[in-house]
Amino acid sequence: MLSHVFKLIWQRKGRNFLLILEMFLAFLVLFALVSAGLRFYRLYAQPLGFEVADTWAVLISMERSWTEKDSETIAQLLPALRQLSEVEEAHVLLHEPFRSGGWGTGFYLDGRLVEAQANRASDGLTDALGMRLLAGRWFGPEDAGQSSTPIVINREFAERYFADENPLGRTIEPDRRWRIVGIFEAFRQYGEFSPSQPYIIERDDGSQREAPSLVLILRPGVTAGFQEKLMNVLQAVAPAWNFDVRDWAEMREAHHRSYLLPLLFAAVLVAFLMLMVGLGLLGMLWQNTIRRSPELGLRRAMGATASAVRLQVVLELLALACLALFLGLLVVVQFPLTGLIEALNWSLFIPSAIISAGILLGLCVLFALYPSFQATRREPVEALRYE
Amino acid sequence: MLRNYLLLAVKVLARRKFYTFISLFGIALTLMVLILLTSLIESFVHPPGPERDSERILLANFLMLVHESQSGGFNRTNGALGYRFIEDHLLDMETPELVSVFTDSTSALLGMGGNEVVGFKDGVAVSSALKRSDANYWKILQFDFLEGRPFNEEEHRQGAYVAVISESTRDRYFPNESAVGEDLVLDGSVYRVIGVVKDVSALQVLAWADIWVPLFATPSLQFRYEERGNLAAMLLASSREGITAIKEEYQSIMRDYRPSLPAGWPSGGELNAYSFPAAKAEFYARIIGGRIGIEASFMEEESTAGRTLVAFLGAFMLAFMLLPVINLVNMNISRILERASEIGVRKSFGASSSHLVRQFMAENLVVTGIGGLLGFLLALLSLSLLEWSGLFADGSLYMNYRVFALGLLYVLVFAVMSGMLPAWRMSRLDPVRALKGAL
Repeated sequence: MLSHVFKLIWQRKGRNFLLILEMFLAFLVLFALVSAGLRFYRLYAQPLGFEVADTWAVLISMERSWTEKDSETIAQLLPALRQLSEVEEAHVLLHEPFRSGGWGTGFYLDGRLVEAQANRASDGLTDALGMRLLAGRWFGPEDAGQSSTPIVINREFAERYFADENPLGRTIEPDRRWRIVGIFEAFRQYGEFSPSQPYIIERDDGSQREAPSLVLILRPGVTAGFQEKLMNVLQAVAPAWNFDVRDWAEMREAHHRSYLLPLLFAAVLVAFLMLMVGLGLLGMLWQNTIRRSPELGLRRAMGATASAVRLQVVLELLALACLALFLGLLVVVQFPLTGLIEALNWSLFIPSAIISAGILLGLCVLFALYPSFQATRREPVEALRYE
Repeated sequence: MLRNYLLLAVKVLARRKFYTFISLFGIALTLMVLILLTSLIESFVHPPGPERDSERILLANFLMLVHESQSGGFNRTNGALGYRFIEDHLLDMETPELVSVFTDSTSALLGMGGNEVVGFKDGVAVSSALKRSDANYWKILQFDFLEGRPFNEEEHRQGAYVAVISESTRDRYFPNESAVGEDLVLDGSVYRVIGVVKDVSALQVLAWADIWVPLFATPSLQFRYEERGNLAAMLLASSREGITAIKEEYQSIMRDYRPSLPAGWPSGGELNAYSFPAAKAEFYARIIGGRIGIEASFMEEESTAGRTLVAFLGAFMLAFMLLPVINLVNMNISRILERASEIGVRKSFGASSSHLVRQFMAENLVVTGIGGLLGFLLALLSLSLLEWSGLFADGSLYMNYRVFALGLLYVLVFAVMSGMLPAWRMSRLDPVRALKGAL
């Protein structure tokens, strides 16, 4: 049966070339969409590491450089905010999540280059955000006045750079004298759709070197109306600063939208493309089976059952699709082979290839069904005579 | 004769209703996808509104500092430009026709918020996106003014408290009245409205804002001394060829630029600064690349990752555009093949090849004309659906005469060619074979 199918395909190679090209391109487009979707889904499934509910960011900007006096203003601002009945906790954080910008650092650790994102938080913020501690402890007031600065690192950092030793208590980074006191699960600063990377949170000891931002944990039920009251308090303490208040949950949503809307748009377009390809296949097969009525009638007359003829029609298209798939796979397999796109490694490639190939084959079967019935609708005698 | 051809075409279409439906719907769908893609590319290459000169505009919006200490460790920060850097190095550049400085809102595109100002209308807080700019900004970008005017060089220099607002901002603060001459209180400062412009799509990152005020209209001018800040510069080339010259001049500026060490970084070691201007398209490509895992380095203008990215996106777009075209060709070929026996009959009664080709050309025009019309309706429908969904606010995806003309061209070229070629081939066949419907 299969050799028969391939022989028939070969005899109409000129016509089939365009079909194969069409399915090949359809596979490439499907693969791009599926692998992007799968990658984002996998990233999304990893823990974000912190809670966003009832949390506000207060972004501080000023039209001059930061001085020591400004650190004193922060020290006055925090108790003033904590006194508000709506505020449960007020903290300092250098870089807010879901925003661009950040602090990248690198240093040599036992002869090996360590690259990590870093941040700086005041005591207690990590707990207030519901972050999960895996080993050691969070930094706290007991760390004040020591010669080294306490830091906590995320699981990714510990696994990548301390594979078989205990990082707790190690002093790293000669310029800063960082001492590791704890390991936490995650703090994905750039949101759920960013890949997880080694992360360091340094203790903020109250002497900032550049404008940080504030994190307010609010009591449940506080509404956006609190913003005006908050602004008044902020401006009373620090009249020279500019403030911008954001809701973490809203920032997260806007961040999600910026990723998902383009993907959704692409998905709708690809769905239209596939419907279009399907209809094209349907029209072509239809015409094809009608023109081949005598041939198919002959097979029926020689004793083939109607279902065998139907299967032949579907199989012929599937065989073409497989050829197209083979060519398509030859192209896309270059990504994991050459490492052109780092994220498109084997673990992403294999399921993406299977899913997109499955969609394409499913599409072929779906749109070959009607023409295959069309092919056996006529009685063999009638079909043999059909011109 | 033509009337006969057309009548025949309609008769043939009516003969197999379901097949006609499939083929017409397929053509319509194909054209719809093509038109959507064209309008997507069109609104990017020839954006409507303020950024219509974007192919001559370069954007410089980042300054990356990398410090390497003697121990081999490094610190790195990447942010927007500061006023001092722009004033000392960019404002007096020779190659650009105009240089403009404005507050960078590219992070708004990333869904990460921009510069917001809060005003109050009847006691309710109204938040608006604010952009500060100089006077050249209004010369490089072509805003449509509904009333009033932009602020001029003098107002920018003096830091006059004047504001240009968007149409929807006017409707929010001053419903049903003219806004020019009115006062607007934003974050405690009073601005006088001098102009109202049409709303701008958020996809046009350079132009997008709700309220525009002069760069120096702020109580503290300390930011003038910052090398790194929250500003970007727009460089307008006199022609598309001028782009290269600007890039070269920018690189020679960067070679001579000596940044100052950021506070808190260890001294000693080596400090390097990286920045280059790029077209808006490149900026978008970097964002897309970052998301799919191709990180183009900010340290070099022409990186392998950047080239990979461009090649990758280009190939993907090509596949996307080629697919509907091939589909159209396929569908038309099968539609014509179906008429093989009829061609045989006509030929055996003495019709010449040119007659047959003319007949099929007329017929194809009818079929693709109907399909094309349906496609345009579908495209219009889906464009308005997209707009309604808020995905592309403010009509950034749109259909203009150019998209319409291009769409029409697609319809004609692909349909006529794909229909005519097999008809022509068949008309040269032996009539006996054609009669049997073999090709």
